[in-house]
Amino acid sequence: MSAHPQHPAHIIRSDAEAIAVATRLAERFAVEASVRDRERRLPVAELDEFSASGLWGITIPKAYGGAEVSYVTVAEVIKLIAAADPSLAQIPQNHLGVVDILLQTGSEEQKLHYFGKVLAGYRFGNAFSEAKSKNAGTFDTQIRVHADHAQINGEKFYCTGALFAHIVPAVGTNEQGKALIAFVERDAPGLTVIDSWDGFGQRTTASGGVTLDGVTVPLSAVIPAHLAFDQPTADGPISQIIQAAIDTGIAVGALEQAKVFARQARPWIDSQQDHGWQDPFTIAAIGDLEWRVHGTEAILAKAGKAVDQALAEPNEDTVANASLIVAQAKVLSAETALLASSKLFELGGTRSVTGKHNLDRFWRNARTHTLHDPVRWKYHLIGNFVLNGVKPARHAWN
Amino acid sequence: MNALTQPTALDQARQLLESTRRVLQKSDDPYVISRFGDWQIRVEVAAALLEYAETHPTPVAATEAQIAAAEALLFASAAEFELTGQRSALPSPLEEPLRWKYQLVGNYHLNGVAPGRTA
Repeated sequence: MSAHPQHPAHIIRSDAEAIAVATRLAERFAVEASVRDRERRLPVAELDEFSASGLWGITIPKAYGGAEVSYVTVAEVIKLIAAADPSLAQIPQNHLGVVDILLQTGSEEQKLHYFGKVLAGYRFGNAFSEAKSKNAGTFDTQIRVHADHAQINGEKFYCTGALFAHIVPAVGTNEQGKALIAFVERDAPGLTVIDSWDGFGQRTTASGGVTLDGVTVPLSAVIPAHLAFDQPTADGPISQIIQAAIDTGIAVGALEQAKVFARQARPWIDSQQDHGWQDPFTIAAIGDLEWRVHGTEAILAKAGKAVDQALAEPNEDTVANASLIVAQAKVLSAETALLASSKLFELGGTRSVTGKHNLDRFWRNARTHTLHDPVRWKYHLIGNFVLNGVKPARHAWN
Repeated sequence: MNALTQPTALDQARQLLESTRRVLQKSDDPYVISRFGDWQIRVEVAAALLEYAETHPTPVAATEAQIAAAEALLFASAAEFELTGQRSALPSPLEEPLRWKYQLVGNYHLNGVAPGRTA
């Protein structure tokens, strides 16, 4: 993988253009999504088309040449792509998060440099999570800052996007235990990306491992990422709303297929109908899914507005409010995606489980992606504010 | 009267949440806390669907909001009883039954059949 994009990216100028571009791309990505999943064919050409479309740069502020779209639009874009192919939608997940951490904690020179690269079509991967550290928020990877360079050593897992990235931002801690991010060129000596992801869902995200073995970067490639959470910023809610948008997209895609297959289903013998679509219980079950999916979409849009507000006026209250509404979107999207992708088979009948349809990809993708962080703690996060007035903890998962 | 499908259903679900919260005051029980989270989500999604029906109008958008509000109220009534041992009386659900709302919504989205004016 090269450290540079093959072609310069288009620059998107408005929210409406972003939605139009995403709608068009989603139609194209939907055509072979099932084949890519079945064959675990990594979406190399699709990813180039995706980032060259300009959609990976839509959150860059206007002052740096981007469209600075609303997070209502970001969520809609990711939802549209995820309804077609949730693996493709997940690949820019951390890229978009990194763009915001740069905005929050980078120096003026770093913003100019890296935002320019993103607008030119550079993709950030990520080397954040670690499989062996104590919990999701602790890192064994070390970034040691010296007089004229920094050195990184560590081992990462679940590194979505790293394989196809031009730049791999890696999280590690300094001597004081503070989290830094180092921007590592994809072809830097000592950086190895391993295509080892073999999960049963989100099969073509290439979310494998990264090893950093004495990787050196200039000091200009290091940002004090911990500041994004030491102070109230929108970074946690931004990371989470993209998660919720992916799962909302899976729910939308599954419901569309549920209707297609429910209409083709044979009528059940006891229904005394001529067609499956006349079955009163099928009709009511679709009604139930529809309001849940639309309710999820409505909350996702509200969450986008709350994120916009937290970005515009970052303080304890706006950031807590964004976390709380994004958490609602996270719960609803996870539950609706799992429900729709299971009901799909109930309403489609046995013929819908035929291998050639590969409809299980919706459930496999929903189950896999919703494991990013557990929704059981989102109920707690929301309830703790409602009942006890306790604001959500600030970290990358809230 | 049908408490579940009246326009007041969402307000009642909110009121029950508020009155139950006042009874409990505070809690560090993780299961009680998460029950309130679940409750809040159900109220918020019903409110969001009411607004959504204006920006994304379909012949059944208002019915979808009605279902969400009714489900929030059913949850509220059960949660109130679970957490306080009390149950506020609600008018009994006889007219305009909730169960047929799902049919209206489903028949529109699955079969393209818009509800009749009396629906």
